[in-house]
Amino acid sequence: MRRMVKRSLSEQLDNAVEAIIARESSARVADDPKLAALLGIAASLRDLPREDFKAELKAELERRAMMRDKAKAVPEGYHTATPYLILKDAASAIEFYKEVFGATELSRMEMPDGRIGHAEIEIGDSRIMIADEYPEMGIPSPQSLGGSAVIIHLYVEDVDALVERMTNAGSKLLIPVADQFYGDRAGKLADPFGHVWIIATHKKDVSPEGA
Amino acid sequence: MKATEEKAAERLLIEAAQKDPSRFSDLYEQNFERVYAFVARRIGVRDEAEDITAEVFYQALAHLPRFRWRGVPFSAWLFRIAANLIADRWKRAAKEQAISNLNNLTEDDVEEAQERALLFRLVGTLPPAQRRVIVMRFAEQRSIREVAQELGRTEGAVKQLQLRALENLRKRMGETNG
Repeated sequence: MRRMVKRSLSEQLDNAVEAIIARESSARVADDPKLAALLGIAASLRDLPREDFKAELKAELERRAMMRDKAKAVPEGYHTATPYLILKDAASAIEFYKEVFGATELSRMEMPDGRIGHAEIEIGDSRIMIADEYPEMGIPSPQSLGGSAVIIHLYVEDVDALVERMTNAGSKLLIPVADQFYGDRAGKLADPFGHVWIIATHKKDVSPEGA
Repeated sequence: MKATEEKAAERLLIEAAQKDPSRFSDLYEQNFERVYAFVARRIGVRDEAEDITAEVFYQALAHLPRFRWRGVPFSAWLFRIAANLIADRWKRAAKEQAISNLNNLTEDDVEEAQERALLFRLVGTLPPAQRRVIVMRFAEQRSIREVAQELGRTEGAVKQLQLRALENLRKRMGETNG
């Protein structure tokens, strides 16, 4: 007898579940309080997510997370800080830097008017960004400004040889090469384009207290 | 777990995911059901509900580095993203009143989504045959006949399993909430 009642309840329930899944407006009307409670659960289950969807979305998120990991905030080959030199006649300056510093040209983007919009060179392990001046856009070179307020400091193997190459190539010696109290042998120059450099070779370690 | 301990544990998960995006899957596992419940309640069409749920987590992953922990549950942030996405979709359908309700999410809205998320999770704790019936019937929307064929049982037996599963879920919901 009990089995018969149970079966009938399961039939009734399924009829109502069918209506709920089909989103029929007659759904969830049940006189039997037990059945009504079960239909409340069934109505909420109508939005039960597909297991495949949950798994596929997780896989996609993991793929995207991995891509985020790969795209490093500081790209390969760059340090946190990179000097960006603005020049009058950037193309000649790049040739000059290649000749005196042994720089490697990595990229160059020329604008329709022939000026260099962006270029990158590498000296030692450091990249330097370069562009022609655009005074009309508020991007002047040291020559237009009448001076530079920034000094680029280079550590090299042989400061004397490099400073000689620079002066031979038209740079202006501002401070001759000499041994400094902080352990470097260094000199200061302005290149023919107006940028100022301190060229140094580290000779001995000096503690801050001893300096 | 006490609420403060839960908050602290969640904060650790967020910080871990901010340092290492592959840890985001922990946050996903914790929040999937409640986001889906929230979205599905408001977007009746399953495909659209899935699209929006996916977009919520894509945006959360993309913006996670900028997320600042201020003591509110991570799910509140996810609900906000979801509400914005739903509002965008409704704008196209010009559902102004509904959008205004979305902009003022109440505790009841959140409670309701949590409740249903709990129910979805409890489905995973049912005995295997009952679980399969519920998943096939509700998530995959298959007929009793299809379920019976797939499980190799009579239609009557499947209806019995469905009844027992719903009884179990009602009981477990009562225990968890009680």
